[in-house]
Amino acid sequence: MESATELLQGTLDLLILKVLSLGPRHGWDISQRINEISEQHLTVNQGSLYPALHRLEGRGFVDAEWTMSPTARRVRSYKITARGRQCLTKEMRVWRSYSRAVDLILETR
Amino acid sequence: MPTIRELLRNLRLVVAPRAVEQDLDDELRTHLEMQTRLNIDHGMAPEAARAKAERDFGPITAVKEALRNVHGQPSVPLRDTLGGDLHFAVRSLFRHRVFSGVTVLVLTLGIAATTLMFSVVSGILLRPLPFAHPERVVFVWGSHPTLNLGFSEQPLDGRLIETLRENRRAFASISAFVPRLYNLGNSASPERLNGTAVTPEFFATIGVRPAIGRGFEAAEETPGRDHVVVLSWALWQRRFDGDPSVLGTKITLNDEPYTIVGVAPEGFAFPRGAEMPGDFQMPATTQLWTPIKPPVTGPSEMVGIARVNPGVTLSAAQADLDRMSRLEDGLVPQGRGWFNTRAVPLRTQMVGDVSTMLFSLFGGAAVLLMIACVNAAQLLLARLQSRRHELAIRATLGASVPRIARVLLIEVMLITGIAGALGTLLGMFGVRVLRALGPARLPRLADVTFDWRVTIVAIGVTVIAGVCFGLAPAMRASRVHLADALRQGGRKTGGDAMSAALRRVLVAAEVALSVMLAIGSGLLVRSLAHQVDGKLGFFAPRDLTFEVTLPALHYPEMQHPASMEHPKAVAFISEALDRIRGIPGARAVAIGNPLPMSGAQEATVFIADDEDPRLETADGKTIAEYTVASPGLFDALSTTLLEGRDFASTDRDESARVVIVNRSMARWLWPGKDPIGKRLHLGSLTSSAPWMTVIGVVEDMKRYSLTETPRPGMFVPYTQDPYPTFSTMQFVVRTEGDPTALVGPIQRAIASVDPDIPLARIRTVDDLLREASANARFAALVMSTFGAVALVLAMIGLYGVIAFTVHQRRQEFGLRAALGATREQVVRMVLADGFRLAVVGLAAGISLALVAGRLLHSMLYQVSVFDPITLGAVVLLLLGTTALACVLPALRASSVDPRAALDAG
Repeated sequence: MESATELLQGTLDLLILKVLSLGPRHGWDISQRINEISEQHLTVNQGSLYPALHRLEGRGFVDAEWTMSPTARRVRSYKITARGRQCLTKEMRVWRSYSRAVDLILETR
Repeated sequence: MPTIRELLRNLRLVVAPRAVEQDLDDELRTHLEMQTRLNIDHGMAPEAARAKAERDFGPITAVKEALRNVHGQPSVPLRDTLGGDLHFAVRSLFRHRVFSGVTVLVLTLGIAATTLMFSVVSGILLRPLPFAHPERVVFVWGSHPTLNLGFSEQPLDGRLIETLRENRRAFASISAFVPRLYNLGNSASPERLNGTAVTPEFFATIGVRPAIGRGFEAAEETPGRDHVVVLSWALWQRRFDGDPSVLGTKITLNDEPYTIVGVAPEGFAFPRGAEMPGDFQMPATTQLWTPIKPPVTGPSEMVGIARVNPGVTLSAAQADLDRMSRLEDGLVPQGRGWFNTRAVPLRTQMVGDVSTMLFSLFGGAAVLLMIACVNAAQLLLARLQSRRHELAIRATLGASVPRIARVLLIEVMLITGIAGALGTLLGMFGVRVLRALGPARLPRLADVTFDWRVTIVAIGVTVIAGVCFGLAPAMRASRVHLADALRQGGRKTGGDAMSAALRRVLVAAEVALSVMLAIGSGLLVRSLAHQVDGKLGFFAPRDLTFEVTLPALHYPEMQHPASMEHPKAVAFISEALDRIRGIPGARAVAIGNPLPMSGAQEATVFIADDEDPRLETADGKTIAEYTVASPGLFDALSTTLLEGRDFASTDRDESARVVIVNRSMARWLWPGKDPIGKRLHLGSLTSSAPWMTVIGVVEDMKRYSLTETPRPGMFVPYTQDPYPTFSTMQFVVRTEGDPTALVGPIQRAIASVDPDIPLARIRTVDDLLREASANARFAALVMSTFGAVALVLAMIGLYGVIAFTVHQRRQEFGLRAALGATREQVVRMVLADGFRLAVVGLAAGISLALVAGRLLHSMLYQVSVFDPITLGAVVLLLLGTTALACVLPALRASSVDPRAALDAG
């Protein structure tokens, strides 16, 4: 499961918002989804995941609420906010132009 | 910009760190558990699955650490919660004992003063009077438009009272009362009691039901049926042990049997002297009530009270009174113009005189609390500034800003809590002291009780002030400049500069407020000095005064108000004067009714034998103060006889009628002429009273108040007094040595003339003066205390700021010294800094005082709000205080060792 791919600073926030835009999820779920969707290329370091979630919450991009899991455990579930969606749209545009620019440079011969 | 969400979360961190910690744990544990379950699903053994999940997760503490950074929490586990912080705050307060002690003291004084003064204001001015619908009760005073001699409250004519009682429309009831002295018990050992004779509607009118028994019935004002009495609660408890079976039993009053029909409720002692105009000789408290029918002939000393019907306004009540006055005018045409009345609401009458004083004192206390708050905030700020380094280190070590704030908040709470508790105790103590020692002429003093509400408000104000002035700026500064503060090791930074500027503003404000209080107290003290040292017209501080009342049974002439002859009373006085004169140590003895400053006042209508047109008022009536005297009164009081002669023992009933007038009277009636030999007679033009010849002119004496302008007055020898007003006589004895040593011999001398007559109201003239100035003394004393405390607080504040500035600039001073500045120059620099602050505060304070001084205006006697002596004294006092506050820091600044200072940089 280990992956050498280091997430770029700020990319994790983008990924979390993207995953949450598909529906509310709790922390572990988010890391699993990122792992699955990226076909195991990206592994989220838990030490970064939760601080990122709390930071996003603090900035009002995600909402969190305590729910009960089927196993009767308190689970903190995160949901993207309207502001979070705006941010996601903007950040995706930025990311695409950035990645396109990097591609262009790398493919220059 | 912190979002509201962030603020809420920070708040939660401050109030409930443990819950936040729990949430983090829960969230991370859930994650581990889910990962473990996934591993099991992948076929791992539970043990191994959990181990792998934990391994993949990495060190849980590291994650939590990262999370705490997001929240700004300390990375050290929050083991210590509120209890820990409390412990830390207490330790910190103990470590800074001087700071804590001074702050607590400052706030204690402010809280105590405010609480005490508010209790007084609330008890005397705000609390409803303990009567049913007291707002419907009014005093009804006689009001004579033709008189402008300053008697604002006149008794009601007896016949007018009858007319009012019978023809009222706007009033539920109208009653009248007059003070009366009674000797209770058998002749062997009578006790003197202060009674009030009232018309039967009295209790219904004032709105009080007897606690047991009943009030008076309408028929009980008829002579013969009027020997019934209602006792005060206190008298009933003291003399009859609160035994309800006394109802219906008889007691002996003035040697006559009276049936007890009721007992007034506890605390009811109306009329009380302090609540009534001083012109009326009311006892301090009333101990019993008897019924009376208003006198149909002769002068009346009765005071009217009335209860208006529900919904009737004061002006409608006045209109009804005016209508009835016209009615009376019609009935007694020769008295036209003398039946006007004036309704004054009960509360205005009872406490109107002192409301300005009390509100001023309460204002003073509130200002003192403000100063205390400013001072505390200032001290807190200073303390935070000096702890910046410590706070910065704690922040770096992981203490978050909310956490630091929490500890500081707890410190503020502790300080105010302790100060609040001490201030409350001090305030309660103050209320007790005040009730025991308060001025005799302060109305409703017995109603003053400690007021908890204001303590709570005062503490609230203090906490808010502490948080606003102390904590908030510190928080801002520490948030922005934590790193700076740390790097520069507590030297001056941007945040510091802001706090320092704020401190200077606070201190200037403190100086301004204390200057205002000092000026206020200065004015009151000067006013008091004017009153006490003012020209009284007599000087006899060590004279002994007392009263005797002649019981009607032994002196039957007292029972016939119309009688102009009273040989037995005259004989008693003459004999008593002779016997007292024979006592060794009695230098001079006389009667004077009333004596100056005894609280009593008497005046009479008279006609002067003169054609001066200025004396012709609308109905040709003139009035002057009236004193019944014996030969030697002026000698006993050390008053100057300006012209003519004193009374002599040869001025007898059968000899020519004589009168002595005072300086004002002589100037008023006969300006530029010799008054000796002029003639007066008492009563109106139609009166058959005999003419009296002026035989002397005496210096004006202040009679009732130290602030009055003496009014025209006349003296008549007791042997020729046509009025039966001397059933109570006031004696004055000039003594050698201790005045009280003569009380026993005088008592024996009086008893040797008539064994049934007790001495009452034994006081020295000095006591009388003291009583007359009691309220002014009280105001001056309280305000001076506030002013003195305020100045000390301002000094502490100034010292704090200057000392801190010197500390901050010590390198600069070192540098200056190194560059050749003399010690004097450095001292001067520091002093100049302090004086700049003081002068700003002084200017602001004087402006404030000139505005606030208007409120004091009515309390000032012969002192202007702009009194240059007070202003000068306060300026000097403040400059002295400033010098005192700055001298230590200045010396410290001048002794900075240049090398050490530079090294430290």
